[in-house]
Amino acid sequence: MFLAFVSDNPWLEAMARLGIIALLVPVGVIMLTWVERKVIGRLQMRLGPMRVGPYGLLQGFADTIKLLTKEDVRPDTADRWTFELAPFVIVVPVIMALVALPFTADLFVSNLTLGLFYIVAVSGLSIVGFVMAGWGSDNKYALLGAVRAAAQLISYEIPLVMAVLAVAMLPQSLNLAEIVTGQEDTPNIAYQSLAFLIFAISGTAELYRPPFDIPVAESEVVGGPTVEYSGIRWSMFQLGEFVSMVIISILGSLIFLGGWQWPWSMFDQSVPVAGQVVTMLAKTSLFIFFFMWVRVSLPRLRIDQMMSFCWQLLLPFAFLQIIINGLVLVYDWPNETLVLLSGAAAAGALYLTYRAARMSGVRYQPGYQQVGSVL
Amino acid sequence: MLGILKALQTTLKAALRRPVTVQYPTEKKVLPHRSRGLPVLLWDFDINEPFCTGCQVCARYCPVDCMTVTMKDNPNYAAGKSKRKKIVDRFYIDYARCMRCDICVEVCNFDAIVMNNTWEGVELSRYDRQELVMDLPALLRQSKSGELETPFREPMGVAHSGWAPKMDEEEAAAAEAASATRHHGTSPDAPTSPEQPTDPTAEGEAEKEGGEG
Repeated sequence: MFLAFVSDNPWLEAMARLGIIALLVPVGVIMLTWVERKVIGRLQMRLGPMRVGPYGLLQGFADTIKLLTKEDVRPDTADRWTFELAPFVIVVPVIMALVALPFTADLFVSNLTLGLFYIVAVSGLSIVGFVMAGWGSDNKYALLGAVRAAAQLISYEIPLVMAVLAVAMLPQSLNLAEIVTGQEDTPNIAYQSLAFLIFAISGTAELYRPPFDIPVAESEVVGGPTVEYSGIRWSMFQLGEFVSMVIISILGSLIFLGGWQWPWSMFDQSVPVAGQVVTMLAKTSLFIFFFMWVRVSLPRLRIDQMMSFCWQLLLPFAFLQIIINGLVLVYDWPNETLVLLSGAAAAGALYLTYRAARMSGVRYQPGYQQVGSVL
Repeated sequence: MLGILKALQTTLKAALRRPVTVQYPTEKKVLPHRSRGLPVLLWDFDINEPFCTGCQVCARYCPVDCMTVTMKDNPNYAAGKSKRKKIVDRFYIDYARCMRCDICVEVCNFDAIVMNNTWEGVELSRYDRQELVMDLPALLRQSKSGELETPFREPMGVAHSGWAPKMDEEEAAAAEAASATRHHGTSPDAPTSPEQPTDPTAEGEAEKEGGEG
């Protein structure tokens, strides 16, 4: 599955593909910052960057140049190696995850049989980077932000992994290309709507994007674990965040939206590479727009609201999705029953969210003890 | 839950509306007629000389002492072309000191100075503070060039003078009606003695007059 376009030697081939990714990823991230600012601006009835280059297209490059030329400040009492290595510990796992993602049927660096498992496992390494950043900064607010960041990331990792594994149960493979080919007729979002919901919400939390951005928000903990960083190190944090966003979006498009071949495979058409790229781009853009749209619309969740949402709501429903998938596999029910079951479970999850939201608005009366459970 | 969906819907609808950004300085919003910029002098186009006679009343009343005025004999008076016996010789306003209190405009006996209600009156970034000291040609430039077409002149009964440029009938009626609505019903013809207390009956009478005027 590894069509050589540079040479027959697999090492050179892999290096060539890695080189392409290494070139494209920074440029892609820079343009993504422009896209974010423009989209958020339009959603807020304003224009976004317009001055630097036509329609502000060069804004990202200007910001990058500024960041690269800034002084690399390190607090004197900071733990030196922890402080300086933290950005790398965040960025390297993210790029490692990018290595295992297939962008189309043939465009990838390496399509592992355990692809899904590898991506999820490697993404979890970034947590260590955040804690290193917070601890190494010798700053109370950074440490507080880092601890909250670790708690949030670890908590939301579980529903994310459960949702993704639930989806992998049906084609019975962790190979991302096989998961995509398994969605020839209908995308998984129709069968596994609950898993999609959990994936989208946990993904937003994993990326520290609003409304789950309390560890990194400026008005909360002065920017969180990365507060003491400037210049290139700061840009590496931003790079890590945006590349993670792209990874989650691509993963979502592969697993849930049908990848590069739906809806063309419904009509039994084989699409050339360019068409596959365009399809993947469109679906990824949908996800990215969704992340930006949610960012601009919703207020921030408090840390206790966030944790209880994860452990009391998302986790049980993620398990429920796995159980449903298991039942369908064991009793050999047709996949269409999944639509009903998963849809019903998703509706149940939404209803409980509605109840939880209403409960937090209930006025506390003195003398009464409010029992905090949504169920 | 529903609140979340409503919030998402609101931002999506906002995306369909036209952005409200005004891209300054390529585009500029129209300034209101009563915008208070920095003071500029007016040019009498009938006689081709400034209204200002150099009487120094504004300089004396200026709270921050930012004006310097000198007067000279008006050659046009000797030639019979003008009724002004004296004319301004030199006039300096330090825009860095001016606090835009409008007192110079209020006390001017000749209605020769006015607050600049165009963008030139508020866009004043210079590289050197000395460039903010405006001399007579700079102060007359706006009026002479015609950029200051509609200076805001508050029709004040006390400070109004016979030297002001005469507006013709329609302009006067329009200005009265406009200021009547803006002054919440008091018309410039209502008695405006400073000791008059604002009791409701007097205001009611003035409103009636303003409605008719």
